[in-house]
Amino acid sequence: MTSRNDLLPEMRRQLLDGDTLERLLAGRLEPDDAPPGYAEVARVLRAAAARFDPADLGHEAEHVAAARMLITQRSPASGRFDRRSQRMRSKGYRLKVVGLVVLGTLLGTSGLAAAGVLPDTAQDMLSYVLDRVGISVPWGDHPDSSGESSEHPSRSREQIPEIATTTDFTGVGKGAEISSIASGGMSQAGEHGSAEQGTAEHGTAEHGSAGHGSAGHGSAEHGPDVAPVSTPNTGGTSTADAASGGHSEAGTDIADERSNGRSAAGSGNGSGPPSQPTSHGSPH
Amino acid sequence: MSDDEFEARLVAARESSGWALTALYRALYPRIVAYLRALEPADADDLASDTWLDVVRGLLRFRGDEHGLRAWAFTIARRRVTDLRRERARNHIVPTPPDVLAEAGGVGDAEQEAFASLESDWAFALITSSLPRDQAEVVLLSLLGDLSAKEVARIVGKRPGRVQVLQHRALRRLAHVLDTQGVKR
Repeated sequence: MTSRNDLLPEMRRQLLDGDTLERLLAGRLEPDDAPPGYAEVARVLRAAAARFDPADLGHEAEHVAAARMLITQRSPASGRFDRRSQRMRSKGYRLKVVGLVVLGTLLGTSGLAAAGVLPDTAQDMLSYVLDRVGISVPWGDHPDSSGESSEHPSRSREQIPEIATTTDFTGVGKGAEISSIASGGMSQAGEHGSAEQGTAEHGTAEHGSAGHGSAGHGSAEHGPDVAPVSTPNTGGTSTADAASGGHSEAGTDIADERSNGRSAAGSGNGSGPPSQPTSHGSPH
Repeated sequence: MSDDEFEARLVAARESSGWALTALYRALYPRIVAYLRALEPADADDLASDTWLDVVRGLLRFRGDEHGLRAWAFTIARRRVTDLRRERARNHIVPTPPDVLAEAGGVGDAEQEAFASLESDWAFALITSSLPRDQAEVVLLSLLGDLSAKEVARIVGKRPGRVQVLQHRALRRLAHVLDTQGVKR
């Protein structure tokens, strides 16, 4: 009779049960306890399971340190801070902040420019820039460079009828005031052409009649301040016009027009004797 | 180690305790690197490092016992291997086997050669060289992770019955090689 050991190894190998299979695969089965045909397999698997290479733990310190750092960064306590700091450090966040600052500055400056409250230089610059993109904002005021305020002419011209119809000024003084306002301050009419002065220096008060405004300096005897027209002449109007670049005459016309002729009437009064302050300012 | 001891170690490790992390490292890392060395010898160390850091990252959300932690670590390791192989396939990279490098004088030294002569290395070499890849993998996972067929099945994405069949075939093949081909150490 054939014994079990006489069988071919392949034939002797039986199907392993689940428990034996697991113990064998875990390297926990002794070769002597292994099923027939699996003794060498058990020995190989035990050897493999016992494999331990000290070199495999050679980087233990680095790996543990890296693990500690990872856990510290990811712990719930530090999570909020880390997320916030990362967000603050991120390039996108910084760009957003810069963009908001620039946008805020642009909007704020444009608003100030629209209100016209910026310094003149900045106002002009922004007006120019915004005008290029189709936005109209006021230009800056330059009283020094233009010699007059931008508000002055219109405001003054509105005052002309009032001045012409009151008796605050009379005669030459009224004409000088109106001429001065109409010419934007360029005319000095009446300064030297008052009725009294006209009488004393130029013979007649007509030379410095108010309303037409006399050329303030009257004659060459006044030194370097020579009138741009020959003096004395019959019309202070011409002198005032020449001195004011035509504004004087225009102012006179405006005064007449807006005062319904009362300005001319006032001028007539100014032409009369200075000792007769009549009712030249009264209407009709 | 009892479940309570493991739980205490896990809690300490989550709080960045050095001793707990060291204990986990020693329990996991040599097994993982051995498994990876059998599958991807050239990249085993890098893969093992990545796997360890992935394990650490997931410690806060891990729930289970020591056995479960080991199975989970091997799952991560295998995913790393899969990712590596996909990347190689995309980039058409063919890794150079370590024995080729050793023959070229790249890594050989007296100490390493001494280790190579050890029985465990010989056993590993026999398993990886004589078995098909899928059979070798289920054997190594069972052997190094001390995992059941069910756990191995979960890791490799196969049914437990299929894994048991692979394990049986692997052991029969090993026995056949040892008996009939006279492979001895």
